[in-house]
Amino acid sequence: MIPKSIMIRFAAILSIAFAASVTIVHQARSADDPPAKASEKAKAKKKKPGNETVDKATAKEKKSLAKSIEKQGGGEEEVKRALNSVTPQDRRQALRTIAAIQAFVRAVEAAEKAGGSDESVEKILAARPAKKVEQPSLKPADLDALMEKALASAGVKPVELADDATFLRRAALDLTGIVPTPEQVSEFEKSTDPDKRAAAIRKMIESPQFAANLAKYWRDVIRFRATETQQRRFQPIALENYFRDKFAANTPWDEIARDLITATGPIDENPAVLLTTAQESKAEETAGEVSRVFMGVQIQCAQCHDHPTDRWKRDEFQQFAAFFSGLRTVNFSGNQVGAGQRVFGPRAVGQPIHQVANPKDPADMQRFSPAFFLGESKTELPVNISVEARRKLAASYIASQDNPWFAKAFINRVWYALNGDAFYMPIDDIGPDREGKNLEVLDALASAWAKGGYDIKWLYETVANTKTYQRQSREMDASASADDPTGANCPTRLRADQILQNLRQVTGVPIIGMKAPAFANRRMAAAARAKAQEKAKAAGVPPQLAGPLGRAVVKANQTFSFDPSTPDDEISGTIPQALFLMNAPDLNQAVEARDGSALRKILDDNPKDDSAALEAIYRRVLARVPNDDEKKIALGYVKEVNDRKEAFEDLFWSLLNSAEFLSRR
Amino acid sequence: MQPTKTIVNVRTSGSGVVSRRGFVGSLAAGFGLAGMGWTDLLAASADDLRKRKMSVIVLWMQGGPSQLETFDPKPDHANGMGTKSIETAVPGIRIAEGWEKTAAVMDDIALVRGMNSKEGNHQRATYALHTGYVPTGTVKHPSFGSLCAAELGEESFDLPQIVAVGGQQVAGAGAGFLGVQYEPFLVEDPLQMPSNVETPVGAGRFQRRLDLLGKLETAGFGKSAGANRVKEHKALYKQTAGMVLSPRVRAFDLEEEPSELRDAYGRNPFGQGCLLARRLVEQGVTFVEVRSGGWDMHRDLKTTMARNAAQVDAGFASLVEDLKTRGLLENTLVVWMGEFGRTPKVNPNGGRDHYPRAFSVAAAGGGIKGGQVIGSTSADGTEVTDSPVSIQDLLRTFCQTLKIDADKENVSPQGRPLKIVDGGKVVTSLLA
Repeated sequence: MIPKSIMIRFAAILSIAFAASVTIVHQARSADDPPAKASEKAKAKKKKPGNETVDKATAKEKKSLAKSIEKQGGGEEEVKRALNSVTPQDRRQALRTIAAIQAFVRAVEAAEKAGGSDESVEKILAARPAKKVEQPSLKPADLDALMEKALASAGVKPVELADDATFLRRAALDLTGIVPTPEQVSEFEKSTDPDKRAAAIRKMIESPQFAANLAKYWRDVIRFRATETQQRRFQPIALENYFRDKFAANTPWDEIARDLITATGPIDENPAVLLTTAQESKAEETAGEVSRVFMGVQIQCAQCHDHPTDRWKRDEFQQFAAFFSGLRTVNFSGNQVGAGQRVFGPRAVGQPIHQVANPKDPADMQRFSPAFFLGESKTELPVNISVEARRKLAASYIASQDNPWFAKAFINRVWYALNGDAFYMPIDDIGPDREGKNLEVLDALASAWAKGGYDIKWLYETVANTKTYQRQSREMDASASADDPTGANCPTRLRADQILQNLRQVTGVPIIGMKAPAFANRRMAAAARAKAQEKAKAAGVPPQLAGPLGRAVVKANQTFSFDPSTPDDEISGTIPQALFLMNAPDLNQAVEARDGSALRKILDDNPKDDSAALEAIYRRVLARVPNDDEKKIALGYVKEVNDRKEAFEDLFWSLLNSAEFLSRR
Repeated sequence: MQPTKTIVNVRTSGSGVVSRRGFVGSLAAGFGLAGMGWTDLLAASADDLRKRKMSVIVLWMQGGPSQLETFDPKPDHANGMGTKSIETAVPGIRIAEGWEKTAAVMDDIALVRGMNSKEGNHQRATYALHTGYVPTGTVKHPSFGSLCAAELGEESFDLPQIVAVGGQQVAGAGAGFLGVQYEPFLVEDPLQMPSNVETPVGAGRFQRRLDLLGKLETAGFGKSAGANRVKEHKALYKQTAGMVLSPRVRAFDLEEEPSELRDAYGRNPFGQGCLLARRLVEQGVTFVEVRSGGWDMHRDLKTTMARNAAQVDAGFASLVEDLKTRGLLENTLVVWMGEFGRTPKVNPNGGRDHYPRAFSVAAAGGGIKGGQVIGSTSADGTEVTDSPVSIQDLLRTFCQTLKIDADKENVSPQGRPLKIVDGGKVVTSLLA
């Protein structure tokens, strides 16, 4: 019996074949119509009735075409259809479609012969342990106790808790992606509620910005390792939107992972496919990325040879890659031309059998059946199970409570994002052969989080409420070994989107690094925008990124962006970043004390008091008050320049150009 | 939104990866030296800088230029598409019509007609020609240009060591794991000064602001939790401000060139990009890539080729001539190439498709022996019949003439040692 999923897929392929043949007929008919566009003239000319010979297959071509169809087991109908196609491209298309159907039929037959292997997968899945959820009893204080024990045994004395302003800036950046306003900071400082930090954390985690911030982080995690460079085949914005919706609904991490691992089909119907299309739907690349992202295990190094520093063997990698074979990123909209109409996504093509050339003998094609390298028993599976069954099985092994690496990989990232230090560095290379630190803390947290069903908001809330998180910030001691616990929260660099958002918040205007184009009036500006958006839509570019302004936004983001899986001490500032902050015309305009600007208001609110104005600028840009030395330098500068407006513009500029503005601390 | 390069700053050495902490130290030391002689360096004449090193200008034809309509015409075969060949300054060397200006400087140009690779996909082939490696998901290989910048550039130089002219996304053209200081500085439009290199407040106030910033950082974040970050930030700002205030930054301003010379290079982005490349190399920039788009001619090749060739012919020929007049050619390697060639057989749309099995590259200056053709293809253009040259062969030969050790290993962040060029043999006949 052919499983139902396969029947559905078979029907889908048939309908595509049908669509292809309809398109062929359609093109044949439209060839008689007068050409619509000048650029198509040449092509259309060839298709005019009197000119048919040009496009008819030559006898030789016909013969070879018939032969190849026959070779694939095609019948008279297929041969006829292919031969009647109008252009060589159409003929090739028809041939490909036919080949795909036949390969598929053969695969189904082979699967049947092998004893209905998808059914054997169902059996394996049924035997896998079911997810059990129990509310975790682990409290922030438990983590602190474990951490303090680890610090004590390493002889490290933890630093004091951070003050309210530092805490609020840090938590706001980590949980919502944006610095707090001066009003929010002073209100928080004034509150006498002993639980005000917990309440603030809760409020921020429940805000829509929490999901938006986390979505941007995860978009970048995937985007920076994407090998697909075509915008339409990998759409970072669609991926961000997908993550945002999932995080907003507090969908458990294992469900998100399962979704991302198993999804196939067009991007617009199921954006979870973007993890796969990011890797061009290639088995080996997807396998490496899935292992890195969800388990923190860099098994892809074993792609060509046995891993030099890990236990993994090349065969284990290829068996893991076999879970992801059989897909290709295709255009789901068939032969439709208009650029805006093309929708891509991964689709099962041909047989999913994972076949790789032996590196020692390229002529030797080795076949691998799926097996999970971290699993207790590496069940041998039939070589020819379907794409769906393969991926379902992979997800069941990876995103599972019996796979500790799944929880640890996520927690290691979260811990790093919140504390500037992780259990394992780099954060996406953990695994059984790596040495980490404070592992008692990780183990306790990972076990509680897994048992609790991978509740992301619980995890963030628990960690953010620890003393460990709320300590003062210190850089890692350059002389200390990276394996030593730090006993403080370590500063790290802000993401590009955070920097640009903060620039907007503190200056009151969006900063994109260029002058806005001048238009005579609003109507003309709106018309230009609409035109740009229309053009962008046709090119598959999201409307918010249309036109020169949209391109400037993209460029500004690119200028500051970095791979969030990279350790902070390997990320450095770049010349274009410094140029942007130093010289961007819109930023320089925004720091001016002109009518309606942020600085104008501060100076007007404190007409005589330079010290108060200075404090207001510090609060606005860095969410803190200046220390005595800073005050002395700044007020001395104001006096020396002897032009209050100019001097304060320079101060505003300096704070926006500081390392502190670019950091979470 | 396209993914940008990983901004990883890993300094590598034979013994492995040096962390940023180590890097900050060495950078600071470098600046200490530069700090003493900062103004002297600015004043150092371009001649001094040039004496010390070689430069490279790559003219990149994105899309894959047809060898049959450029440097390997087949006028006597049906595959030639009726393209005529023309005489060049070197008797016996004939190239395709439409390249008359380049033909006139053939004395200085060597043609490699036996190029071949296995990569027929734009992204992969572009990556391969830029890095000498095929793309893998795990290692971001540094581009040849970034490697040149690292090997040949002066650390204290006040302009970027590597510049790319033209806005297209080019696979493998970045610094990869070498780190941001070797990332190409992108000039999208050669007719405009690059974004944000000019201060809107004037040099005096700019300097004053930098001074204030430095003092505040030392007193604030530098004293609390950010000593290392502030130190590194200051180094970056010093370097960037050096560029903003450097007289050399005028190299980006083409308005300084005489109108006739600008006309000769061609009043189009590519031609003016070539002129910009000359100006940058003259000021001591190590590597410049000037990009030309629209070479993916699947249909109606004749028309698009005529348009593209007109631009590139003028730019290429003027560049070689101009460099020579100024005595810069012997130290400047000029390379014309794209990611692959095109099918000798013409397709039904009057175009040619991707063909990596036999294509052409042209090179001049920088120790290349001009006025010669290396290798040949069969009468129908489908096969290399003599002196095949692989991508690795080509890059290794370039290394040889640039005096770069092609076998030097850089260590990837995963700890994998990677040679500048992995394999390949020097094409000795290409070198003078």
